[in-house]
Amino acid sequence: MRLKQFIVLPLIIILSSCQKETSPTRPLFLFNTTVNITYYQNVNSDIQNQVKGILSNISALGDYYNPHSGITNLYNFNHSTSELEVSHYLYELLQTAEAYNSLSYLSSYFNVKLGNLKEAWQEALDDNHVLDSQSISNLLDEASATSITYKQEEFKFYVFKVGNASIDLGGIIKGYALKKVEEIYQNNNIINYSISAGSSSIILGKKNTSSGLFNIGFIDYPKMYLSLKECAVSTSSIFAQDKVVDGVTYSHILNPVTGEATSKWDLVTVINDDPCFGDVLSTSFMNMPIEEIQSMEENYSHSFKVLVMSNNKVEYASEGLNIKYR
Amino acid sequence: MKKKTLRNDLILIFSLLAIIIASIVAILLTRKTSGLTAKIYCQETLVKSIDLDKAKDEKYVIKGLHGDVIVHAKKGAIGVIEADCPHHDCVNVGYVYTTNRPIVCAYNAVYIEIVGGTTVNDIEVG
Repeated sequence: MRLKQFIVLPLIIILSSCQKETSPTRPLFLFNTTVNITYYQNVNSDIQNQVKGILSNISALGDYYNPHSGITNLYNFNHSTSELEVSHYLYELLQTAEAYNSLSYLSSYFNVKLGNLKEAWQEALDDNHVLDSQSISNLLDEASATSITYKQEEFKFYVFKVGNASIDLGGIIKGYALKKVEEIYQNNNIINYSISAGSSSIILGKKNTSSGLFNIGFIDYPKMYLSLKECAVSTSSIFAQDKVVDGVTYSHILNPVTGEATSKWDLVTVINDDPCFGDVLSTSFMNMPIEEIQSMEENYSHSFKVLVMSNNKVEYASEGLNIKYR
Repeated sequence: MKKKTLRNDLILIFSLLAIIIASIVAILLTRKTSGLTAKIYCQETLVKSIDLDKAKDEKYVIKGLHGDVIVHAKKGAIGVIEADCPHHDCVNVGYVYTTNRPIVCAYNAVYIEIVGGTTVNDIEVG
């Protein structure tokens, strides 16, 4: 009897350590980046296709650079001088972005009306020079003078932009799409998954290990990582699409107050349970002083955790955020 | 009689342990831990797989969604050296040597990732 136990136990331990992991799908090209979906449980193809469909749809609706046949998207909206009928997603996305824009804590740090300024910066940096202050000032004024009106008639949604600024939903759209996907997973009891949209917007279920934790590394800080599950992880950093001109690093993230393409911090990661709000927070915190970030944490009852990196070191980490090193 | 049974039991136990240990050692020895492979995708299709241990200054022209993306592979590293895209973010990434840093040319729907080696994180952010 003892002998049987002695043989069977190690075999059980060895066999149970073999994990079944569903391979990640091929990367999807959406939101001007790649989206990787990994399931650690069996998920039927209908749900997988529904998830891909919703991500593709929202990506097309929020495309800043190109029109898409058969739909009215952000490109059409930015180039229209009249009222447009749009889908419920685009309507809700614009309203959500504006609602975050008008939050008193974020009003100076999150602005979706800076599309023209972003393009002007991109053009200048492509030519290896810095955008002049007069152009910045003009484009910030243009953004302030632009507004959106919304109209809903039964199941039809209409939007109209007054002013010349372009709306850029880059700081919110991936989080918004992932929030919609999370709803599908919740409704279908899917718990073992991860989705990363670029390296900036991530949602995590549970991994198929006893702890269920995922190791989340940092591209530019390879020794540092976090162990997380069942949360959203939103990251903004100057390292993505950065450009150095005269020794100064410029990035795609604009400071909405100064209009400069430089940020106060090198990287901000926000961990919470809402990928949409997480994206907005990580974008906003890139230029927010630490005292204001702490104040926001208190006002939101510490419902999110923040990691701020600067000059290769941790500038601020929320209480309870367990940063690990290897 | 009892002693003989015990001796047989011990022989069986040690034989099984020896088999288990030999299997684990064999798995560990045959596992590929240092080989890095670059995988190049275009519009979600794998178009090229390059063994970076064997790469010797090779250039590949990848037909992207809107134009060509010219990839240069050298021993242990890969990078985009030229691309028909507006901002050249993919070129600006430079050469990548590790599994945690993909190269994306969104305009041409080209994605390059390095796999293999000792990947320790499930997901990378940045």
